[in-house]
Amino acid sequence: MRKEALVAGALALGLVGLTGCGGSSSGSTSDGKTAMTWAMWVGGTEDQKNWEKVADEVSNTLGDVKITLQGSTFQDYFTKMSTQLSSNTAPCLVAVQSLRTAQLKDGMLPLDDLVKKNNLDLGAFDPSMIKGLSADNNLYALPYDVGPVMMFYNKDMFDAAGVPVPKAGWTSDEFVAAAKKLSTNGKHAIAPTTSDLFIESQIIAYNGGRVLKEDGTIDAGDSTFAQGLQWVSDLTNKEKVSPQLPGGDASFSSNEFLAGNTAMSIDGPWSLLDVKAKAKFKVGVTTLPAGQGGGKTFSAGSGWGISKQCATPDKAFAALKEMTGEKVLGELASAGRALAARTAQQAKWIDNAGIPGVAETLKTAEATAVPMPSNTNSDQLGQLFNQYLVKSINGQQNAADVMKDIAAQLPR
Amino acid sequence: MTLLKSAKPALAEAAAGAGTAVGKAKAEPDAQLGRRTMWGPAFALPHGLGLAFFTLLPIVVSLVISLFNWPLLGTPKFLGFENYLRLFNDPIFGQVVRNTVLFVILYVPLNLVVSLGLAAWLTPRIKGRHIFRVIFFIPSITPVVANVVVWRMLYQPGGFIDGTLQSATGVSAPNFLGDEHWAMMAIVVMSVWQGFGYNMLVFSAALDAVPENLTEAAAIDGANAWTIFWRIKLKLISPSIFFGTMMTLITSFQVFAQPFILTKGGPGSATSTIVLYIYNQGFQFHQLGLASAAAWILFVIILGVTAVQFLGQRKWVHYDA
Repeated sequence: MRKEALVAGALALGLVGLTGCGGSSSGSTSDGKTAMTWAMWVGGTEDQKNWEKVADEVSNTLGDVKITLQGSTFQDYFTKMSTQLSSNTAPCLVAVQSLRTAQLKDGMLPLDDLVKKNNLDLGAFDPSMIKGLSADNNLYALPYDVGPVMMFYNKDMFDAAGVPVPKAGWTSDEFVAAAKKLSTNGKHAIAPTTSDLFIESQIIAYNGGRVLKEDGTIDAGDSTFAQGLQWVSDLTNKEKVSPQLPGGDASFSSNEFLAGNTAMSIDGPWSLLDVKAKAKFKVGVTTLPAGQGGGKTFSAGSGWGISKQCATPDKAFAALKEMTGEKVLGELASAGRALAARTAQQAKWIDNAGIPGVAETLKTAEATAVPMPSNTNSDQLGQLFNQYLVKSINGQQNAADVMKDIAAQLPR
Repeated sequence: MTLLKSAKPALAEAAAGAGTAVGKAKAEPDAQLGRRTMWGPAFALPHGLGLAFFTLLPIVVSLVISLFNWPLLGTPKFLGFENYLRLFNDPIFGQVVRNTVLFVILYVPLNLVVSLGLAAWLTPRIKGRHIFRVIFFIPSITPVVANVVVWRMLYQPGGFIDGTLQSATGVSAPNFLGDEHWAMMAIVVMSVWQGFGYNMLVFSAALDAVPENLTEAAAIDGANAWTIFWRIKLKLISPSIFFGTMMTLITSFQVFAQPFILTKGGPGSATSTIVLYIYNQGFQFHQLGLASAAAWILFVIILGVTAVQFLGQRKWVHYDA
């Protein structure tokens, strides 16, 4: 029996040894270059090619590093990244969205010292993104794209209804008047959305109400926000310019818009070219309708940072600098992939978009945009929005009570 | 017989003898046994290790984690039973458990009735029964995600059900998934459609195995088809029904994909189930301790229900055909 135990023990130790070898964040390739993995969300084959091109270009420019892309879908990315960061298997270069900076920051390296050491001019980037990718006064990532939330519209539907297309800076009264004319023959002006970024933008534009305060704290009981949510819900229940929500479907609003069932949809510049390519109608953009006390919008974007587990942070920063440099961001803008976080490169994206009014809308929206702060409970808030806003929008409960239910479930 | 007789006194003698003698007598066959079974454990080792590493270890670890405040990122803090207390006092978790029980109560009987009914109908006399079997089994083997997309189109306002009802009667159907009073029913119906195929196959095979001489004898005695089914076939396939009930109960307590994709647990918390709660706590909010504690509560619930089933089966399951 003792022999068996020994054999079993030896095998078990061997297995532990095997699993212990897995996962290291950087190493060297056979030709002496520093190997580095770059975690990024990928939206499809086209997207994959874009990012692989960036990885290859930066590797070639630097000469002494080899960057490999580790792609996953946007939906899975943050779960995967949190797991990797917590289990010491995270890659060196990590993508992060401004809304989720606070969630990943514990596993990421503050970049401030490296920025100083390398004399990087942060002034060339959109200031709202530098703020958005910071937490506790530390910068955690260099931004590559930026975007104020805005309103996409179906120009053909506006023309058919004889409604003049909206101009940047339009008011919520003008919006409701136009929406009533657009809601005929089973079509609606706009479909409701429960996505945190979009509904919070819609409400801050309407009356300035917000659940995510400027300092990053959450106050789900904010009464101005509840009034804004009531107005949004009334678009469905009183004004009848919006359909009911069919359960928890995050892409309902954009799907209805693409299918030609609604005339408008709240979205960000990051999806404009994708929508333009898929839509069988002329797409236009304008600002979110502004009401009394509102007139603002949230901006969000993404960037790339370095994980704490990275063995070669200096080389990783050199790579980051190239990845968010004028050349790469200029190319991504020209390809229409990202509205560059470097303000000087944005014109290229606007030229490529080829949508009338996009420059004017962006100018107005950017002037009124405030960065969407991140909070460690942002994901929980987003999940509760998905579950509970349905009740307010479908008229089963008033907005203030729904927000009370949400507030009760958030950790205090 | 003679061998046995002669062996008995020998054993008695040995037992009556001194302690050292007993030790010797026992050691010999044991050593022999050991040599013979050296290969046994060796062959069982890969599986044993797999079981230890991928089943036992995670179970123990999850029990340990459930006693901590264990964020995905950051340092864990020991809490004792605080996670469990928090769950017991959380009205949302209470509702989540009630939702799951409601789902089980609605889903399990419906699933059994539909699968047993179709299995009984698909007798060898039905033409093309194999084709029907395949058709009925298709929902079970297609991915839930694909099924859910189709069902969403049926359920949503302006979708197939609403559209048909409106053109036929002029009345619009309820917003099934967007109304808290309908959402759970909608999920149950979709789940039954998705899940009955497996039980149907099991029941159908069991019904085919019922000996024909028994049903014939009953028919000669004047029993009609209904009586034969109720009094003979049903009793003979009771082990299969027990198996089906058991597995369906266990899997239905673990319902996740349907509410996760169709409703995200809403409207409100009307369709939140225990596993959805575990998923959200663990992978959305990164509270691994709380998620593990909820998982252990689910484990205890399932264990309890299964134990009751096993105790109750003596009354209605007949293993002797």
